[in-house]
Amino acid sequence: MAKKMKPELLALSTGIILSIYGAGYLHTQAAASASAPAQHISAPASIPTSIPGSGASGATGQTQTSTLRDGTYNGTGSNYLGDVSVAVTIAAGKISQVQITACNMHYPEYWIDGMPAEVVAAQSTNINFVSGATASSQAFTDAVTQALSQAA
Amino acid sequence: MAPKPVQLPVSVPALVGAPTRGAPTEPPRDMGRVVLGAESPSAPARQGSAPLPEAVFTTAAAIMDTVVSITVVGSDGDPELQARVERAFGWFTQVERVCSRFDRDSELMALCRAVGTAVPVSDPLFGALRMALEVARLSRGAFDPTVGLTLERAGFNRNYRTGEHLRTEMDAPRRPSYRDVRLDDARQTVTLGRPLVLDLGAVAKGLAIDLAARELACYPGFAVEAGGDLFVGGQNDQGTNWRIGIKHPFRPTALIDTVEVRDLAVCTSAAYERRVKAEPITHHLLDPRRGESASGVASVTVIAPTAMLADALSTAAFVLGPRKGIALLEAAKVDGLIITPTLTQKASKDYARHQTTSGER
Repeated sequence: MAKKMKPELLALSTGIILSIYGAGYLHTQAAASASAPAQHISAPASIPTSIPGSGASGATGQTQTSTLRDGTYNGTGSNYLGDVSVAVTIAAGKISQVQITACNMHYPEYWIDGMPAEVVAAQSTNINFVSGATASSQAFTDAVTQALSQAA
Repeated sequence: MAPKPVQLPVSVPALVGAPTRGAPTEPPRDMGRVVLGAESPSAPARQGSAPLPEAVFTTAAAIMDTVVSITVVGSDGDPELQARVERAFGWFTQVERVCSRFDRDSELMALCRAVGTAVPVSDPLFGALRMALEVARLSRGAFDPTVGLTLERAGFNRNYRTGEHLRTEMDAPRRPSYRDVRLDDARQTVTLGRPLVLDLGAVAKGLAIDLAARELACYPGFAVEAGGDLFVGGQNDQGTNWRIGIKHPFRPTALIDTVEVRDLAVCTSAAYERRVKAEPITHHLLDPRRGESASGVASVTVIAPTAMLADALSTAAFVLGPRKGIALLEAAKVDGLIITPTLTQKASKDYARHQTTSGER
């Protein structure tokens, strides 16, 4: 068995998915559904389509999508790793400063030390998702997103 | 059912930074679950195309030690939407229950306690193992699902739900390899030839993403994302292919490239997330042949028709290094991008067709 085929991996992987899906949920279904998360579907929403990208390799976009009102706005981002609070200062319609005001993450604060500068340098780009983005940096970007939502 | 606007905070399992309207209130104290409530009408469609009637629904939950988010471009008030999204999340729970190395009661860990006998296993466990062993064979052991005990002993042994540290009592004098695992396709049984702990982390998350994606395939656009690995189906609410940023390996908020895809998985393996202090194992991407963390690669992104394949191949390519890694991806007929620690980029020969064209950047 182990050696009989030169694996055609694409076909194999698709076949595995379809056969598992076709067979449906397992005998553990009842137990699993008990621990499955209760879902809340949000109202019609637009996907947040921007990311602060500092244009590494010039790969990120240029489109600034909205104008911001001057002032300082607080935001908090939180996930299973902990939470991060930031203060975002808008001056002349632009992000002039981002400060981490609290960091209660499982990861040390130095992990996100560079991020405020990244945000200030950031250009907005039309991105739906990011591959490789991990939870430890999400809380920070969520905090900034929340702060900016008040400035919009 | 008329969907009700959610007043909970925006907390998006992808790097997002644009202002979204619908100011959030307090962050969720329930760390187990986040609900996305980015409220606001869909952005206007691109010039020249009619605005689409669809709305976008996003929801997220913490499963498999990461944040899973599901996004659907669907019709407002679709009565089936909630049930389908629930089933999609249900697959994650299912796969985790079956394949988790961190749960003594999982089917996987029960299998690991039955050395030397042919054990009949469920479809998901058999499928995940089948995939893992094929990639192990193709990569000549650079990818190997028998690294479980090495990972456990290196400190990757915490159950994120209970906080408990798992310790498998096992007399394993020699390091096992994928050759010690035998599958019988006809009987759907697994036989372990020696004591070992299986780790299906690099396959199971992808498998769950793919199964969730099947559940949502009836929608004109959807995305299933789990900890930076994702599958996107159809198109986004703008009627264009999904635009996926690829994270810069060293700068948390920066992108190193962008691609535009539909009906494909995009998975990235990188060394930046899960670390332990004990040298020489500094991150979770082990070279199974040496029992040490792999080096020579900062991140590998694979674009493939299934997340299960993309996830396994990105892990294997990470261990193999830039040159052999790209050769592996090309042999498997998938595309990918490898970033070295000095930020040199090495791409498979057809990778460029996925890249966002320069004029649109």
